[in-house]
Amino acid sequence: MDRFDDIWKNRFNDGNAPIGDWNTPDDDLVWEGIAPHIPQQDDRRKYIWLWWSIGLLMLALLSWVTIKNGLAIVSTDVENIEKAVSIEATNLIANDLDKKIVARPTDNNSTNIEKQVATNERTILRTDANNTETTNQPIFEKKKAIILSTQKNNPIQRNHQVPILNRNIDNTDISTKIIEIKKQRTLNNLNTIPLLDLENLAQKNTLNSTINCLTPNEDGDSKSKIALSINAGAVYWQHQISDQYTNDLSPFDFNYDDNWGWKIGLMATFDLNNYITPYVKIQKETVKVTSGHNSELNYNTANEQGTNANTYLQNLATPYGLSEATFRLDRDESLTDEMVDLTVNFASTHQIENWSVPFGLKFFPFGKKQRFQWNTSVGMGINYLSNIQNTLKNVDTHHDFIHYSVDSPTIFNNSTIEKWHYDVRLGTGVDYFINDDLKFNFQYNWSRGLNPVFQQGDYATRINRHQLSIGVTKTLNLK
Amino acid sequence: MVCLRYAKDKSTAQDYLQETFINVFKNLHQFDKTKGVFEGWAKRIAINICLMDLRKQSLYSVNIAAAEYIESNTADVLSQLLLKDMLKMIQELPQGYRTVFNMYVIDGFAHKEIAASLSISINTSKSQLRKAKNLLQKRILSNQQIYQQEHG
Repeated sequence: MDRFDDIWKNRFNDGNAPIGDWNTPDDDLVWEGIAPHIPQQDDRRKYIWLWWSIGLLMLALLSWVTIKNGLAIVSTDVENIEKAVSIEATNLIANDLDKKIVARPTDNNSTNIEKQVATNERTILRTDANNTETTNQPIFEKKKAIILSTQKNNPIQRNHQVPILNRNIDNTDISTKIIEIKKQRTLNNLNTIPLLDLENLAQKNTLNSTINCLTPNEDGDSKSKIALSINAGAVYWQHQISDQYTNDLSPFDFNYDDNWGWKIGLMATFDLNNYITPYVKIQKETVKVTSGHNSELNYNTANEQGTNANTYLQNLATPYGLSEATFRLDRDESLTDEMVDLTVNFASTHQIENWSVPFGLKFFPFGKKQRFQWNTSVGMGINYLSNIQNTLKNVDTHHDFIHYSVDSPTIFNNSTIEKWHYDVRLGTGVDYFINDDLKFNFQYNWSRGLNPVFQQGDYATRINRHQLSIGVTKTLNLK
Repeated sequence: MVCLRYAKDKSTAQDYLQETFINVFKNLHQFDKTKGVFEGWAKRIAINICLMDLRKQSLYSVNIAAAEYIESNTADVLSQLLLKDMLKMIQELPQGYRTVFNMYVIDGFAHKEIAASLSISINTSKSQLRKAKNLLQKRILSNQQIYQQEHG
């Protein structure tokens, strides 16, 4: 700060400037401009309520679907187990019964109940022989159909069943009685099924799978809950630029594109239960965005330094703020004007590399036992914008004798970028099981930027993303 | 006066003043009298308003010409100038020169702060200031010659 500076500073900071036309604003003009702004309301707050409402509605819907389907599945599973146990038990009893019938009721190994049933069945046979009213009573037929279908490997027993199947039962009272006896036998036999039979029961696929449906966590005892997934796909960067920034740049015909890029990622999941799976992921995104605008420049031959060229220092408007670029315009010797006014179009590209770590929860409303599994997800993402390389691709002077010099430096960088930014994300997708340990995924995610990647006063840019990816998930063999 | 210094003419300065009042009203609840006087707070808002507008205009480029340093002591002449004439000289500076000169010389910002506010490098801020001073010195000398010719 020298004397020259001090004079300027003191003269303008003493606050005692004489009032005159040159330094007194027109009050009316100023107040006319102020008045329309005073009652202005902040409309953005309305939208905040809208976003909250939509979010809560989605959450409520998701919870309702999850709970509803969960209860339905549990209910169906219980029914399945009851059926399976009943069928298996009945098969065992029926087998036993058939043996007893063939082996005569006086068999020393038979229990009292067995003897009673055998006696009753002979009674049925006798009654059938004496009664001319025959009806197609389905009780035994059903039982035998089950027996036939489940005992294909035992032809001897099938032969024993034939005489019984061929006889029609026409007395409903007796049938009811038989059912009661069978029920009693079933209960008794359930208590006396030998251990070997229990093992056989467990080996039956139907029963086994239905039991597993009800108790999915037991899988964890024999199978790992952790899975790794590699996925790749496309990512669409959607710029959400503040109104102030776009309005201020509109005189310069500022334009930019939202563009697709690609991404690759590695995801780890942990099966919390049949419906919920937390996930964490690391992924890299690469996107190339273009932008452009025009500016008024003038070419002055007086500023030429040795060559027929002017060098310019220019702020270029990008979706990520104003970036300072240096370039040169060359003059053709045939042009002799001292000063030329130009309207110049600038076109730039922005190569962006972004690392993100999303984490959250995946919901499987219909469980994870089907071959196709539909999921929805909710989460957050931590993003690190590792690089933005701005490149001046073209400078069009719209002039025949003044051209952009190709020797100019083309790379310019932003100093105002916020490296770290965060987002919230929602997603949906399907998994297809190729086998027990391997599945194929297709996933769509949408994320909304929480804080801007660039902010300077009222100028700000947030990034929202649409992401489509395919991947393969491998369950780890950890126990 | 702040708006007049940063604007190129009176009309633009009125627009700045109007925006300043609007922002003062809007942000009045944020003013903390324990941290400073109202005048300083309002002045800072006025400067921010001017800078915001200048950022819009900053897409107009600066033609980098060879800088030449004028070896001349203009301070004596300057001290005799009226405030009105000095203001006119500032207003006639190219926009980039005017902004950096105002911020550094009169409002006391450091080059680092200027660079951050205007999205330029520190070196650019320094070179703009040097060129602004050179241009002002040229004009002061020019005014002095005219004055001497008119008054013998």
